[in-house]
Amino acid sequence: MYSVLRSCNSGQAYVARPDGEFSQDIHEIAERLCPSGHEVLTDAGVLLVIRSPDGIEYSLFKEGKVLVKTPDETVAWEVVRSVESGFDA
Amino acid sequence: MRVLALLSGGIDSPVAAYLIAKQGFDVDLAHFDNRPFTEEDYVERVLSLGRVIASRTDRQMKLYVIPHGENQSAIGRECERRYQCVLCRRMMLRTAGALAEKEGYDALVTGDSVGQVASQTVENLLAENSASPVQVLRPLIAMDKEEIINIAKDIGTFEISSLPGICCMMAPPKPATRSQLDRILAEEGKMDPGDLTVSALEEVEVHVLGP
Repeated sequence: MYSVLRSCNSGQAYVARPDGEFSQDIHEIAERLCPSGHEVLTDAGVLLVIRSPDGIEYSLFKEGKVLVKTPDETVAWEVVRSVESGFDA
Repeated sequence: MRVLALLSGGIDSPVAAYLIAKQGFDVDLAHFDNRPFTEEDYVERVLSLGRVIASRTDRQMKLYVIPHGENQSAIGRECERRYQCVLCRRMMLRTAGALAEKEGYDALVTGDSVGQVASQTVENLLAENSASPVQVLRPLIAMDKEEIINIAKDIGTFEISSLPGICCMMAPPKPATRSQLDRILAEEGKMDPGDLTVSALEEVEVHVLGP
């Protein structure tokens, strides 16, 4: 679902956008991720702010964009892959 | 005259606060804390800007830090997405205006410069004005970006304002640029701006900056 990760202009975050059309429900994704230690910090409707089990904060947007608050690309990829694991097959 | 200048952390608002202080206004500052939709340490940047302004104008200033994350969330949950920025700015003007009335300030000051970004069109500024119970002064309204940047460099705020930062995550992909007040009021009616204002003002932090 995600094959490209871009550094945010700030250098403090990475952004991944879905490769194709995104039709998942972000609240359902969050529900599936919670048992593995992801914690929803804020529900702003159009996006969820979530903390990963490793303590990395990320935002999951309604249109499928994921913004990971880390300057470390490897860490950002790990978070993005974990988000994908919550997708409805 | 006592005024409360809104300080965002960007380039324009410190210049607006500085210019109005140089005109002889008694200025204090207010920052809307946008966490979790920005970096955790963003408030530190704003405090640094406040210290520079206080130092450059040789006066002590208060900096009110007002929580804004719940306001943003409520707009995001309840309202049409393209109006996020206008509704966000109305919430800031409403809350800062309420603080101004409570603390005895005569007006608010913002760094708006017409046409600079999507939220700062004439139509949007008009749709935002009515949220504030006090007058809003906009000393940069007709200045171009280069003029503002030059002043920011002169007073020493440009470097701080230009530090890398995550853009506001709540900004919509296609923001409304020609908002009509009746439509904005209908959107705002989907949440409870009065309650949100009261809640935000219960959590204000006050910092004292300068000599």
